[in-house]
Amino acid sequence: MNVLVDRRGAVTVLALRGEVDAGTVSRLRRAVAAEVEAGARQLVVDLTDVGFMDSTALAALLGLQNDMRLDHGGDLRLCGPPPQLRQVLALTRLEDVFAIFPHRAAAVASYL
Amino acid sequence: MEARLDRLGHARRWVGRQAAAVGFDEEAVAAWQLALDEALTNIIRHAYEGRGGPIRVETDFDGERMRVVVEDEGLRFDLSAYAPPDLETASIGGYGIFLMQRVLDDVAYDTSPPKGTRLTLVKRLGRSEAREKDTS
Repeated sequence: MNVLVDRRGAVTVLALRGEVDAGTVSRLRRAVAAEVEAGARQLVVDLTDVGFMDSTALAALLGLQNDMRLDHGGDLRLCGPPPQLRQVLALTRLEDVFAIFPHRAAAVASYL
Repeated sequence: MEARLDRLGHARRWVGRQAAAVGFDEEAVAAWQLALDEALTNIIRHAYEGRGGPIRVETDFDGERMRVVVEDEGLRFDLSAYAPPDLETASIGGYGIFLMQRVLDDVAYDTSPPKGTRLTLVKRLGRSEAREKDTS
């Protein structure tokens, strides 16, 4: 799993590419930590190119969202979840917990 | 397979091939991949506590149902200690078994083997999948 960072003004987009599971989720955590360290507070995680995501990865996203909101006065929003991930989000009802947008532009614009 | 997190992708691809070969559609193949991933992650983290160990995974198909049996030799799973997540409150973790039960038809834990736990996962071909299989 790769993380591509796209900084758009005050909003930082982390585009995940590949499969996010218990073995690869640490790369996401490290990428977020690096961006927060550099001052990023408005994050978007783009899931468009994620081929698989399990509950460990979702839990990590939830934890990162909580950290951004509670510890850094910021937020973490999601965009572009593919069908497999939409199903997992629906089953766990975490789709109600995250701010999820259909695509990157909408997620970035939501911060404006 | 060895109980290592870097083997999860390989296991998902394997079960995906097995499920597709017997006629499951794309959504059901994804369900199998998620379920096996969750099962193996639990074994790696909890049964073996991250220290590694052997996991045996076998599959069979009786024309209607695919069964995947996962066996480990680690700490036995205590089903009585499991509580499903409260979906009204988002929680970090605890969704693995819940997801397996939701996407499959049967999830059964057996701690009677001499060591470890035997987990049996079952999913039936859907009606449309069975029809397609019959006419192919």
